Amino acid sequence: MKHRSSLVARGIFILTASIALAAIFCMNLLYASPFVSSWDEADFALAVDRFDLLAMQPHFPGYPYFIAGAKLVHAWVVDPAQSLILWNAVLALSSALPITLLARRSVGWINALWVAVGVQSLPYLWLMGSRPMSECAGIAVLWWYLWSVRSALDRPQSNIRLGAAILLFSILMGIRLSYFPFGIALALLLIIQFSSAANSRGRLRRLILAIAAIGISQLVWIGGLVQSEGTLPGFWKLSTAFVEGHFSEWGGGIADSSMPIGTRLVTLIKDHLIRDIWFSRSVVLAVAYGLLLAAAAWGIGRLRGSRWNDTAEQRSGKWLLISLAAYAIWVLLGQNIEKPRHIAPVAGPLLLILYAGALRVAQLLREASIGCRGWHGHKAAAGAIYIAVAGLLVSQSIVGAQWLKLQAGQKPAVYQLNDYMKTLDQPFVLYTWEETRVLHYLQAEYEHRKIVTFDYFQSLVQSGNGQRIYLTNHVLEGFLQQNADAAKGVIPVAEFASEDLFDPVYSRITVYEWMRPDEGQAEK
Amino acid sequence: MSRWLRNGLMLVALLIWMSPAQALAYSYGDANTEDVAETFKVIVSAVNENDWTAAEEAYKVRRSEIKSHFGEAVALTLDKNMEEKASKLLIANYKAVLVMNLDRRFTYAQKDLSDYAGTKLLLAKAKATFDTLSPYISSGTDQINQAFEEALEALGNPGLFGVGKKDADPDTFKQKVNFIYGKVNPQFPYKAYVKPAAPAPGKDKPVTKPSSTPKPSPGKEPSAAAKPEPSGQPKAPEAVKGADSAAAGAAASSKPKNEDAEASVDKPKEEAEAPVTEATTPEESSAEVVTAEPGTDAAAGQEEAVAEDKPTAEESPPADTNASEVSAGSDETSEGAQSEKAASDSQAAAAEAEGHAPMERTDRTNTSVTIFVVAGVILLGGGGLYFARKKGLL
Repeated sequence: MKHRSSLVARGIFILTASIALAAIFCMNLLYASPFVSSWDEADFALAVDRFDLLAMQPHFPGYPYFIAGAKLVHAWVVDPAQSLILWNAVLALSSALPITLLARRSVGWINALWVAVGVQSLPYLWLMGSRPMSECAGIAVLWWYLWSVRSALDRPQSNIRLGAAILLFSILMGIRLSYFPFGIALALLLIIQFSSAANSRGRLRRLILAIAAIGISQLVWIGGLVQSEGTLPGFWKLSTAFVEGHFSEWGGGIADSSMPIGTRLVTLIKDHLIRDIWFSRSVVLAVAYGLLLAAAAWGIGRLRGSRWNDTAEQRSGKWLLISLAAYAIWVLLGQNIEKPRHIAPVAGPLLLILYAGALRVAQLLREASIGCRGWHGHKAAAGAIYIAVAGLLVSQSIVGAQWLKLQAGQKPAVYQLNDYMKTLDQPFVLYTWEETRVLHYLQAEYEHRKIVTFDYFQSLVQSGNGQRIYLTNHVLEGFLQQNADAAKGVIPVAEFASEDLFDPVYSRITVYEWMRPDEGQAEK
Repeated sequence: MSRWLRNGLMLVALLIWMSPAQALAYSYGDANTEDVAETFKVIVSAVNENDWTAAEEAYKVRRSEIKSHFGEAVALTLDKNMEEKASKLLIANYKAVLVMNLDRRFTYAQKDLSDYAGTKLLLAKAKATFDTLSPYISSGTDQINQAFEEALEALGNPGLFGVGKKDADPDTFKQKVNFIYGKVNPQFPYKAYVKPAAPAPGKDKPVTKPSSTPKPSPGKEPSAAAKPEPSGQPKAPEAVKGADSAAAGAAASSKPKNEDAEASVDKPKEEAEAPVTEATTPEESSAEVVTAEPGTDAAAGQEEAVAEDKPTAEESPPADTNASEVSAGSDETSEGAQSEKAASDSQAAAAEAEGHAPMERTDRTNTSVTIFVVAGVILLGGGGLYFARKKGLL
């Protein structure tokens, strides 16, 4: 009888967790963002209709599997951006499986399912499933890849498991090349396999074959890109054009802000990883995570005397931490520090470690409470952990749902800008930075142009044929770096704002009008 | 355990060591830029600031490209404008050079539409050229942008993993490209530097003669001839071209300048500007250079008329005789010899452009890359096969 009731309880737990995962997926579709609000998003959306690396749809390095999947979805979904979102959401849903499989090793099936719910409902990651960006798909495949490496570590002799890891790494690179530092996990796997098969004669052969397989599997998506340009010489021509373009680029580098490495690190960890991604700018979540950490700390404190028998899992957790560190260093040094989304792939695995660790502590507490003097304290600590986790799941889903609603409902500042400019009398020119790409996507009918150099702008203004001239705050800020007098002839006309969690750079746009009288002064 | 840590740390160290290089490589350039157009931006900015040294430096870098593709005469005209600091004229002429560049890119793009990537790159360069000109075009840019997009569509698409495959449509491409050129060309007339009568004829610089004006890359002829044609008549260009060369032939019988007349269909009209200018602003004619806005407008108007009414054959002869008169008036000294020299010059320019032409279409790294990849595949495949066999898998 007792056995049966626990079976029912297990069934209910599994069912509710599955329902929660399905609900997360459905919410992604229900609140899919109808906006294409950044340069990158416009790139991806355009690529679904026409894949063209040269036209920067998408931008280098191409994201072929991401676009190819969305192209397939596009056969049923008319809107290209919605095709990307559906593809993202499907991949995100599928990643619940590897998360569960990874967590199962330390906390068992049922808890592991709830760990997956916890990771998936982290608002920042959840929001990504409703946007036409490649991050969500990249993170989803990253989970599959991490799981494949972990399972290959279990059985070093298995060629199938090694092959799966190699294949998934290729898919990961074909979705987001910038996640390449996670390849360190695969490298570690090969090293472990090589050194653990100490006296086997075939180990060198196997290593070389594996490396060759890694290379060939990467050639699959590279081959897809090459084929998208017709021929190999064509692709080569294009690639060299991109590299040459870099050197002959004129007026570039102005937007480049060089930040000292210390400040970068603080921004990356404190602002991006903790505030924006982990807590999703919600005090409630910060408090809830604080409670979970406190409860877990309490539990660990109570367990201090007793024996930890988790060394195997702890040890294999190290490969995960090493890969995460490698990726974080890469983001620190090589990625645009303005965008929190770059560090997002680190958040999921860290969260997995946190949830799985806390739940494992709770399990250990319950085991230890049997036949122990301080069992009341043990049970209380375990209960606190469970309550904190449950509270977190609830608050995460509420906060996440609110963000999702806002993301789908609030017009991005660039859209507001477009609406405003449409009401103005033509002819006029609007000078912008990256906003132009979105305006182009929206098929704005007025003149808008990207500009970075003040001198060139002045020459254009003077040759202008009486059109009014508008510029955005980004243009003006760029001008001010080149010429302190740039702001003299401008007056602000309109301001637009949207939530900067969704777009940290272009969520605030001010339109300035460039006044004619200044022309005389500029001419001297 | 310590092995784990050691290996991991070593790999992380390796990654850090590699990172800066990666970070640099990660900021890709934009392949959608055109050097000639970028130089224009620099020159225009510098001239606006009255910084002639900067303008000259930027121009110097680009001079050889301009010379080899659009002819020595164009480069010399720009040299002269630069030397005289005639900012308006310099910029107007450079804009005309951009139009020539547009034509150059279109011409090479049309040669072989089966080279998808190459053609697309050339079209992108043409678009970058147009984008640089577009601030100076008062209306119709939407139409032209649209035409660019349609031309790109007409190139077809190999698809991504075969999804979205589309065949090329050369006729549409040609039509769109001609439409664009026809729209842009009349708006930016070229004013060649006219050598005044004063300097001694002994000076060995006959190139300043207007007759050897814009001799762009070979292959200019067909598209230039087709240019005034309204779209949708694929056969008409040949007819116009025939009429044109007939006119040129007629002119040839009267003057020994037929090579030039044939070499550039544009030229007669451009030269026609000279008399117009002289007529409207006589005080300018004393100057070394033919400047003045009226000239621009008149020439543009004339061009427009040609473009719209399209009896090119009727317009050409008078234009040509005008031109001959001008050249006859400006340097009567050793006319025959000079025209011969000019002809050989333009031939040299043609040869030079031909020499540069392969650069436009085929890639020098082409074969080596192919060999490299083929060799790589054979090596990898062979190695894999060898090991598989040795291991007893095969």
